This record gives sequence, C-alpha cells and structure tokens, in this order.
Amino acid sequence: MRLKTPIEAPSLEAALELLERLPVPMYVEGRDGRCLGVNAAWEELFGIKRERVLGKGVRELSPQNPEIAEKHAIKDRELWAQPGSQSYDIPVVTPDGRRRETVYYKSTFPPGPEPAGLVGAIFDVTARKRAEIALRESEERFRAVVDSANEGMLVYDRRLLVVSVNRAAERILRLPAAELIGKPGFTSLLPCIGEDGAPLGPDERPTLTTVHAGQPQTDRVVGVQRSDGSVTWLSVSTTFLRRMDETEHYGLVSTITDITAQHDAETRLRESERRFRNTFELAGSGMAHIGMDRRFIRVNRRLCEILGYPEAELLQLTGRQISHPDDLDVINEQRPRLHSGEVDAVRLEKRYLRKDGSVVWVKFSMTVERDAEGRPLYEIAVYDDITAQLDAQLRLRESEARFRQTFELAASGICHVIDGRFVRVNRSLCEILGYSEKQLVGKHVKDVSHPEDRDVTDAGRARVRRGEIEAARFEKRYIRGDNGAVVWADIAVAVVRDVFGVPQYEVAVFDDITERKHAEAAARAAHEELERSNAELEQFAYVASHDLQEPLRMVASYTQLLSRRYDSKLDQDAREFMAYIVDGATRMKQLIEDLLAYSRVGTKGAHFRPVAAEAALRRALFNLRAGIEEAGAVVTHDPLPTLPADEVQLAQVFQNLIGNALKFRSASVPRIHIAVAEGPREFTFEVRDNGIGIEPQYYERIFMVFQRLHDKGEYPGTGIGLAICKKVVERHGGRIRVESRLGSGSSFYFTLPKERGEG
Amino acid sequence: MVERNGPIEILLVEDNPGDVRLTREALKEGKVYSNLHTVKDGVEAMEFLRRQGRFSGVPRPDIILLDLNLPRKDGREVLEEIKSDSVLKRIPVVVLTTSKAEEDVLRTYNLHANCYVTKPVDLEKFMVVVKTIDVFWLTVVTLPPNGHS
Repeated sequence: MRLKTPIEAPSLEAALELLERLPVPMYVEGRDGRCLGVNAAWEELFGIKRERVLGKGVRELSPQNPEIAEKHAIKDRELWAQPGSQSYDIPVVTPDGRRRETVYYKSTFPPGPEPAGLVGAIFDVTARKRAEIALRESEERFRAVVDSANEGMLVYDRRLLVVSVNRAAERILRLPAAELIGKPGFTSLLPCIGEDGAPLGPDERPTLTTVHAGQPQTDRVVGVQRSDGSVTWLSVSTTFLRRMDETEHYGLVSTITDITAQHDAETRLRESERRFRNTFELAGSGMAHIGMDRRFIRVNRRLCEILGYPEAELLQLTGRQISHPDDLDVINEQRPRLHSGEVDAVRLEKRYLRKDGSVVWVKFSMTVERDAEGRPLYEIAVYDDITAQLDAQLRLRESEARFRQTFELAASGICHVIDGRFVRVNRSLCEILGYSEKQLVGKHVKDVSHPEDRDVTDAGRARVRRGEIEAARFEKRYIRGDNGAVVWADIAVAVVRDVFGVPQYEVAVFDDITERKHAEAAARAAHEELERSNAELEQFAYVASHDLQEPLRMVASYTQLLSRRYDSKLDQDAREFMAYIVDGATRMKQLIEDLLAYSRVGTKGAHFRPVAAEAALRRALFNLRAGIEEAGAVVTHDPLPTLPADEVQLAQVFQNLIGNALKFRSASVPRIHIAVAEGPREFTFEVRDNGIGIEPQYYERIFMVFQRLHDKGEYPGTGIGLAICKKVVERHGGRIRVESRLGSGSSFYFTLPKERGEG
Repeated sequence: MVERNGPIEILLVEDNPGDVRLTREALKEGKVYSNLHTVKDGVEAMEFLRRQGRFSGVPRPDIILLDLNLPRKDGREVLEEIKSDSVLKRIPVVVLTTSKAEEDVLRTYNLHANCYVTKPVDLEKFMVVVKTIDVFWLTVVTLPPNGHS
C-alpha cells in the first residue's frame, strides 16, 4: 500500500492509529528492523498481542520458521538497498498451526533515498492460490482428456482464428497444429465440400454460419477432398465459448468427427432407398405397405391411379373401407394364415370401389415383412388392375356364346374333328347324319361314312393339314344313323391352327345335297334319255331320208320316163301334171336332204381344233366360185384369226351367208365383205352385203327352219341355210343376228369364243 | 392291156326292181354296150362274184354297181369283202347312194369305193350318171395294165 500523504516523523502514533482500522494486517518496521507497531488485523492474523512484538526483529518473531524469517530478512535488505515498494508471496503460519498463503506488500517511508522505516501489508491469498492450483489441475486434466479424445477439437478466438487444436483434430484433418493455429479454421486450408458435393464457400464455414445463426450448430456434414480423390466426411459441431454469466462469447469450439465410413454407408443406404422409392413409385403395379393396424403406410402412384384416390386420402384409409361390398373380407380371411407363416403369400382377385364409385377388379397379392424375431412388421401388397382383362374375357365369353349360337343355329352341319373323330357337332349335323349329339361325339368320321366313300377325303385333308391349300371341298356319302339311308353331303374342311401354326383341329361344314344329287341324277337320266331320243331321231331322219327318197325317186323317175317315151301320146294337161309330179318329188327330196343336214349339225360335227378362219372362208368361196363369177360379185375380207372350231361347219356358215348375199343381191354389183372384231373373250364376224336387205320384223324368223321370205319362183331354196348357220354358231357357243336396211344391204354378225368351249 | 370288143359286163346289186328297170332303161337309152347282170342282195352278189352255185358260169363283171341298202348282206359288207379279196378288189365299184348323207357315212368307213354316185331324182340326171359309167369304164380300161386279164 502506498501512502498518499507523507507522514510526519513525530506522527507515527497517528499513522498507526490510521492503520488500526484497516481490515488488512499491517505492520511498521524501523530502519533497524525492529517492529514499531502492528494493527488489530495483524494481531488477529498471527494470534499475537502487539505488546509482545514491539521492538522485536523478524527472526525473533518467527523462531519456529527460520526459512520464512530469513526470506523476510533478505527481502528487507533488498528494500533498504533499493527503497520503494516490493511484494512477494510468502506463507504465514497461524497460531493454530495452519499455513496460509499470503502476499506481502512493503513500502519504505518517507519517500526518497533515505527511508526511516517501512510499512507492510499482508494479503491472505490462500483461497486464490488454492483456486489457481485447482484450475491448473483441472486444465491439465481437461487437456489430457481433450488430447486423448477421438473427436477433433478446434478452439477459436473471438476473431474466429484457431487458438488451440487437439491431437485428434490433427489426425483427422491430417494437419499439424502449428499450421492451424492463427488460421480461420481448417476449411481455409483444405478444399471442402458440402453434403451435396458442392464446394464450400467462405461464407459457409461452420464457424461463420454458427456466429451468424447465433446458436450452436450440431452435426454439420463437411467433406474434405483429398489429393487422392477420396473424401473424408466430417461431422462438425460448433458452439460458443462464454464465461459464466456473460452473454458475449469470447470464442468458439468446434468438434469434428470422421464419419466417412458412416457417411458412405448412409449414401449407399440412401441410394438403395432411392432405388426402392423409384421402383415403388414407378412400378406398373400398384404397391402398398400396410401397417398391422390395416392402414396404408405407404402407397405408390399407380395404386392411387388404380383406386382413384389421392395419396393423402389413401393413407387415411384401410383397404376394407374401399372394398366392394361383396369382397369385404376376402383378404381378412387369409391374413391369419399369412401372419402365422402358414402361407408365404396371399393371392386373390377382388373388387374395390374407386372414389368415383366405379368398380375396379384387382389381382391382389400380399406378403409380410418380419423383424429379426419373425414378428410381422408390415404387409407388402401388390395390386394389378385386371378390369380391362376381365372385360376382354367377358367379351371373349360373349363372342364364345355368339359362336356357340351360330354354331348351333347354323343350317349347315358343323363339326370339329380331332384325329378323325368328332369332338364337337352342331344340331344341324346331327339332323343331317341322323345321330344324336351324344352318339356322334367321339365317333370316327369314317364310321358314319358310306363304305365306298370312306377314304375319299383323306388326300385332300392331308393337303389342308400340310398347309398346301386353305380348305378342301368334297362330295361324299354318309349313312344315316337312324334309318340307314344314304346322305349326300357337300363338305368343306379347313384346319384351325394355334399361333405357331400347329394344327389344332379340323372344322368341317356339311351341307346336305342329297336332294340336289337326286335332282342331278334325274337330270343326267333325262339328258341321257334326251340323247338317246335324239340319236333315235337322227336314225329315224336318216332312215326316213333314205326310205322316203326311194319311192320319191321312183315317182319322179318313172314320170319322167313316161313323158320321154310317150310324150307324143300325151296332151298338154297330162304333160303339165307330170311336170308338177316331178317338181314336187324333186323339192321333197331337197327338203328331206336339208332336214337331214340340219339334224346332223349337232350330232355329226367334228371335234373343235384350231382352225384358220381364212381357210374355212377359202373353202366356202371355192364352193361358191360359180355363183360368185355369175353374179360378178366382189368379195373382200379382213385378216381373219385362228380359233377353235369345226372347220367344215365354219366353212358351211360362210358358205351359207355368202351364198345368201349372192342370192339376195340387188341390181348393183354385189359387194360382200367379211370383217372381224376381237373382243376379250370372243371374235365377232360380220358378213356384210349391199343386197336387197331384210325388214326388221323378219330378223328372228329368218333363222328358223324352212322359213322363207320370198316365193320359190323368185329365190329358190328350202329356207334351211340360216337355220343351219344358227345351229352351227350355237354349237360353237356363239350367237348370230342380223342388222339390215331394206334396199341397202344386210350384215350378219356371228360370234365365236376364243377359248374352246363344250363341243 | 386287153383290147375289149365285147359288151361291158355289169353287175348291178339292187333289190328294188324299179331301180333295176330304170338302170336297164338308162343303159339302153345311153346305148351303152353292156350285159347287165342283177342280183337282189349281198349274199347273191358275193356268190356271183365267186361264181358259186347257180352262178358258176357267169362272167367276171367289169364293173359293179352296188346299192347300199340290201337285204341279208348290205352294201358295206359286200364292199368290204370285195376290197379284202386280192382278185376281186381290182374290180371298180360304183356305190349308188340314195342321199348325200349316206355317202358321207360311207366315206367315214374308209372302204375305198372307186366312186360314189347319188341316185338322182331327175331322170335326165340319172341318164347322165349311167352314161358316166360307160365313160368311167373306158377310163379304167385305158389305164395302164393292172395284171387282170
């Protein structure tokens, strides 16, 4: 303690009086080292009355502690040698023997180089000393703990510069403490990234963000990029350093933990989780996790679509709440067996009611997730919307029904045949074959066939099976099961194949053609009868022509002989009568000849072979050469084709038509032209003349047998020529007609097919 | 070559007496120098040609006029037999037909008749036909020798 006012020498008592009231133990010592006085606090400290110490030196006062006395003596000498103030720590032993830590403050007086004495004050610092020791020990212990910790620690000062680093931090950061101290943390020394992988900016340092946030930060994840490319992931927790009762911090402390292994595992887990999420979300099937309380824990988008509820609503519901009334407990009935492990999975089809009230058919399968002890944790359910599929099935059933109906109601007999046996037959077939369905199914087709027709379909059906032809058609006889009657059937057989083209079964359609067959047989018989009758007629015509001509010839010949020999003996009338007899007989002979020729067109014609129409025309013109010459006719023709025909008959047609043109010529020079036009299937020939022409009303009549338009005197002939032409053309499958203008000429058209028809 | 001065020996195979008479009249009117032998059917015709039975003394005809429609054995058969006989086949045969149609039928048998003649209704024409026989005969006999005496 320093005295502010100098004390007068004579006022030592006054000074002591002043000290007396101070609570600090004080004493005054003279230049000679003897005690001049002490105050009450001193007496209390040492437990000694002042009377016992006055005038005594320090050694006398501490006989039990010579080293303390000695220290005081040395300090005193130092002070006397250098007047002023001094302080030093020194223990004090109290009367009860307790040792106290004190600090002695001593000052010489009066001020100046010649001090008269000194005054000392004793401060008891025992408590402080003890606290100091405790603190030091605590700090040492703390340091030891800190240094031995696995967590790295960095202590920052107020400016956020590193002031202290523990060994774990050095190890974790792979930086010596010396490099860190004084720097703004490890993030300024090492390239760091955030949890998202992006580089950590200066503003994002844990220390700064903590200060900005104004509150401690825990488990912030920071990655340190290593030169080898790896990342050391750190969990950083930062908190403020504050003195007790202070609001302002004086620094920060960060703890860092290496969580690389954990982080990687977490990343993988997250990845797996994400993948699961994706799978779950993107799955084509509806999926759900169902809690043991039956509530949906988790549902995917598809399930929301199937059931028609938004996810949030679905998570409030149980499956039962949205089940179709008829399918309420179909899952619950199965649950006990699933939970008990009796079955691994439940699979069923059931209906749900969508939010909009529509019904959805779902194919449902469910399994259960268990914990390590095998207790059910939750259920995993998969839902597939099979409404469309069921619709398709329904439609298929309808189509099947329609097919059934068609099959049953068809007028034709229909059957499916496998390995030659009926597997399915319709009613009509049963009626056609005279069996019941029961009798027919399973029976071999050949067993109901007519014995002679048993194998007629084999080759054709084999070709259908081999795929060489689409379908085969047969006419075949069967024996009815009920009355043994013969049934004629027209059968079409096809093969039904699977998607790989493998034959599955034969389909045969039967039509009962028994009546048609009978009609055909009748028609054939009639035809044969007709042919026979025609042949008989032919024979008759032949015989008639011969036998009728004999007497005719006799009549004519002998009449002529009579007139030759006895002409002079006959009168004019007799000669005239005989002339009529001869004329009649001659014409009758011609008629018979022509009739015979006409009847022979159909029956005595040659087979058709390719004929150059031009050759036939030449033959006709050759036969007519006398007439052509006589009439002075000009006959021209187009180039004519070759076509299938009876050459003699074709020549006959040309001859008759050209002959007519010559016969029915007008006053002008006869011009006859034979033209031809080619159509797709036939040739049309035209024989055109410039003759007298024909009136339209006779166009039909002229082609009839023995029809004549002119009297015999004007134009001779029996009227058979065009009838023969018509018969020949028709025999060739063609038609004949005439176009004409009276007075200016006629055109006879006849067609002949290009392809060979029936002879 | 045999120079023939005697009458033409004609065998007429014909069952109709009217025709026989008519032929005879025609030959007469045509002044054909001939001997007309007639038989009434094919059987007789073949006997005549082979000089069998009552025909043992008959001459071999120079020409045969053959009607087709004959009792017992008809003209086709007669023609066939003649043409398959190495001696007889050298005798010319004129087939007399009643109609053109008959001739057509015959041709289809391919029987190699030397000539077909349709008996005409017109007497004049018949005369011409018979006359033709004479011409035909002369043509035949003026042909190069055929080894037949």
